[in-house]
Amino acid sequence: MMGRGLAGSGFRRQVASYSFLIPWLIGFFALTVGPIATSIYLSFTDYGLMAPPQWIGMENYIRIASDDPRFWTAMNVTFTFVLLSVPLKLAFALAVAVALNKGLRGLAVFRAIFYLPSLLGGTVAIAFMWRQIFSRDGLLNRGLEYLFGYDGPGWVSSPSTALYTLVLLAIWQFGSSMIIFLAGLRQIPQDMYEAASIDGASRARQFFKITLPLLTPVIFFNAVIQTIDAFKAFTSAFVISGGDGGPIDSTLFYTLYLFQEAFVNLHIGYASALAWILVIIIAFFTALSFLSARYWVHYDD
Amino acid sequence: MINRRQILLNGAMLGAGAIASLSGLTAAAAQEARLRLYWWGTPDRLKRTQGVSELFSQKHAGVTVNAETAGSDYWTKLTTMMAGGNLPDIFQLEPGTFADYGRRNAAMPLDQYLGKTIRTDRLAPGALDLVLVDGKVRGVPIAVNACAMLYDTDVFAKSGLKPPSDDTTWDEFAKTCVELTKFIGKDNVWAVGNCSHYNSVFTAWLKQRDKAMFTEEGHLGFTAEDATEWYEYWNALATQGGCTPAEIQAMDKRLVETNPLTTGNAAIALTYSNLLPAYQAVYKGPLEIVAPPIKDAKSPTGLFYRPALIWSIASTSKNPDLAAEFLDFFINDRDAGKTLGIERGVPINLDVQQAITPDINAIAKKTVDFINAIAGRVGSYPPPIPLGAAEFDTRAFMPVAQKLAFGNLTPAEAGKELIAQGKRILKG
Repeated sequence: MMGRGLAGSGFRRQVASYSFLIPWLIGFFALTVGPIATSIYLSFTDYGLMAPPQWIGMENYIRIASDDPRFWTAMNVTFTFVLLSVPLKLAFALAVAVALNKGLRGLAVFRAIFYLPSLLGGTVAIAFMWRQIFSRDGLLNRGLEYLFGYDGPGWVSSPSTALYTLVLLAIWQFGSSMIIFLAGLRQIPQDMYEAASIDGASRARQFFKITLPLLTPVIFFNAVIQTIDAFKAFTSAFVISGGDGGPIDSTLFYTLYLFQEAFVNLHIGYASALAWILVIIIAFFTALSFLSARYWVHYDD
Repeated sequence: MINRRQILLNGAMLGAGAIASLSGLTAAAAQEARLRLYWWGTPDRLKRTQGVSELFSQKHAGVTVNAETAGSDYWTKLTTMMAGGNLPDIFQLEPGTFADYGRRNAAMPLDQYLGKTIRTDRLAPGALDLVLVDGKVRGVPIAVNACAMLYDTDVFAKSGLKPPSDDTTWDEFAKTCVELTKFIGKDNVWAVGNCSHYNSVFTAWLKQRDKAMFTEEGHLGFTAEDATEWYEYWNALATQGGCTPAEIQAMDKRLVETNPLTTGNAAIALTYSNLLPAYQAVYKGPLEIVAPPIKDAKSPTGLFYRPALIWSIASTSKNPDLAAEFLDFFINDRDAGKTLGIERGVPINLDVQQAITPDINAIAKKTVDFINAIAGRVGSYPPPIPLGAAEFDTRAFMPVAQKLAFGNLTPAEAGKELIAQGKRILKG
């Protein structure tokens, strides 16, 4: 009797909780799982939107690996971007966080100001502004000419520098990493520093022997999140290059190439295959960071 | 306490309410038809097009025409809507992409409406030949235009240089550009934008040599040598300082907003005749319109009338009859024509063309005069472009020109590369 009652109420409770979850579940299955499953299927097809998809097996994947120079260009651009922007951004964020952690007056104000670019940085408007600043007769070149008489190139429009303006834009959005670093720094017990300075350890030594090791879990978290974000970067390159990844494919991020294949050239099947390769790449690097973590990330407990 | 029966009952009532309100909505929708109209263009075009939509709504009670516009992301949005199965009822195309959408069956065949809902008796002769795809009419040409050249008359007057005319050759044009750039003598200003990535100008160039961009069978209509000659011309002009360097060219997406003439980097633009008012609206000096340079006096001019823009009806449209009525109104109605002016080109309907001529301003009149003046020198309209022509443009023609400009390819390599890429994309 009692057992049945309990089971009944448990079931009822579950029904209640699931019914509250229904809106989310509908969204999850219709807008996330559904499209994901569809894109797996489409990646094995030839699909140009107007005619129904045609099953072609592994052909898309084979072509990507063997007969697509632009795929390798996109990989090259994306990896350059990830390898440059993530470490630089983290280093910058950490440096600012350490500086702010010195007990500056008006910390909250500075924190908010430094965080601001992270809120705005991903938007189309900022990308436009970036294009204006770094264009041939933009703000930067006018400044350079005024100060040093140097006639700079069109930074966003020459293939040798365009990608670096995007790296700079990514670094500028260091705010969210900085906030997390700042929180991490606050967690480090002050008495460790006191003990170290009594023992005569220099500031630099304290930073490398106390701050960095104790901060590794936070660094690890930031690195994983930022790496995934960097692989997915799209808006800035899309706006700054005018959608084509130019000049000469120098800003052809992987996501931008995928987008072009899907919605400009209408190779939806091919683009789906590209998307799944990106998923595998991101999963691989995330797994790699988790595996490596045991050698350099120190947890308190 | 709430029990299951109560929940079920409440749920049923909620559901019934939702269904009732939904059916109410569909009933209302049946009475009031709504057309979605999608195009790209300037704010001026928006104003004029909305004006026509309002006139149409006044004559058709209960019909609303919703405007949707886009800029350089127009094609992306269009294909995304196509993928989602919710294309606008009517959308704007241009000759470079028209055949692609026709063959993909996004644009429905209009043959059943021609001569009935869509009156064709007063259209310019041959107008419907411009919108044939594999023997079917897949759109309505809104207006005609032609390749043209615009230049700043003030700059030429001050420089004392002879301004380009209809019989200027490419060689003379190059010399003029080098001289003019020297005369202007300002940082970041050249005579003309490097046009090696302009497919419209390349088409005219090829036609002057009795070649074509694409053949009737859908293959490339030119050789690597032809392309090399083209690339050599622009490369030499850039080296001599007569046209914009690579970094400026890279920013030019072949739109009015991105053309060096608009961005203040040039005094001449190679473009389409109907765009004169658009350029004049953003350019401070007085502009004049002439035909693009020619090969020599004996060769064809490379000019041809083309449908400046095309309206197509989506094959998925729920209101194709109404959409056809709208198209008829758009091209054949005099009031609609007066509202539109020549913003999209010289009207395709001859009566409308005559009706609007007295009212249009001097700038607009120049484009009408230009179209009429070249009548004796135009050649035939090129065959419909093959499937994949748009991809050839974005993945071969544009990038090869960029690589050339930045010095990654020599003109000879660029010529070969263009042919190789073209064969790969067009499959033969």
